[in-house]
Amino acid sequence: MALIKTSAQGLTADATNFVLLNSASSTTDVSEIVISSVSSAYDEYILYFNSLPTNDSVGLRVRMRSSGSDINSSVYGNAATRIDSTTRSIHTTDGGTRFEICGNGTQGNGSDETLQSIITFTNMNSSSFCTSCFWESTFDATSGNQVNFYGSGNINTKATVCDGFKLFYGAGNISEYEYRFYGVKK
Amino acid sequence: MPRYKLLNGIRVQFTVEEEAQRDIEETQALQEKAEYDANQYQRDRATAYPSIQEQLDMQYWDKVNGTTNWEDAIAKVKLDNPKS
Repeated sequence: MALIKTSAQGLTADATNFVLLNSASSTTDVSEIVISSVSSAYDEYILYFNSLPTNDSVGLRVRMRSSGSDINSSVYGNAATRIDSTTRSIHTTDGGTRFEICGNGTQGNGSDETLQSIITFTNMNSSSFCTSCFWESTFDATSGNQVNFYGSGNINTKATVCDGFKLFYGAGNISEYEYRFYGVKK
Repeated sequence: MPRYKLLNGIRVQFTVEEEAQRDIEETQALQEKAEYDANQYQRDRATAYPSIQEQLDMQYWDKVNGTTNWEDAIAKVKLDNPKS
């Protein structure tokens, strides 16, 4: 992480190499959140994303964008481990059309069932390495079941250079959201 | 009801093409969810079965003692988690 030693007392954030690129929050629902035309000035990107779906039993998804359009082809591979209070399960997709952050439809839409996610994107601007996505997500179901997802995935063609992404649920809208999207230089 | 997207922080109404694409995506998602839910019994059984080590031990002692503990344990898991 880009930090600069400014004094003997400690470190402060480097405003040049770790930069807030975009942020928003609202309780007015949208079907998807699109971040496009991402500056290629950064090497990695970090998204802090909080959300609540309108529908029950849905899963958050991420689709990358290239040259201003969604990448809809079957080039996504991802795997996520779900750990909750009672069970462990694995969710994998090969040749999918998006990254599946929360497996196949498991998040509730109760007012306290908000999903908190940290999503890191690497190699978005690279044609030498595959664009990858790493995430941790957590929500607390109204049943009292604490649910965590840990996953990662790749676009399986390294020549694909990405300039954005969109966030959406498998069905229904995002009723509440807040995000902060940062660019990070190596 | 028209759909909206948040594009770089600005709320924008879907185009006709985006609405059609989203309809397809949601239909597909609901089908995938239905398939996933239909196989829930498999995931429940997988975690309910005794470990392989325990099952081998049960089978050994069933053979020695002429009991049916292993068969009974497996049957109970299947009965408790019926195929939906």
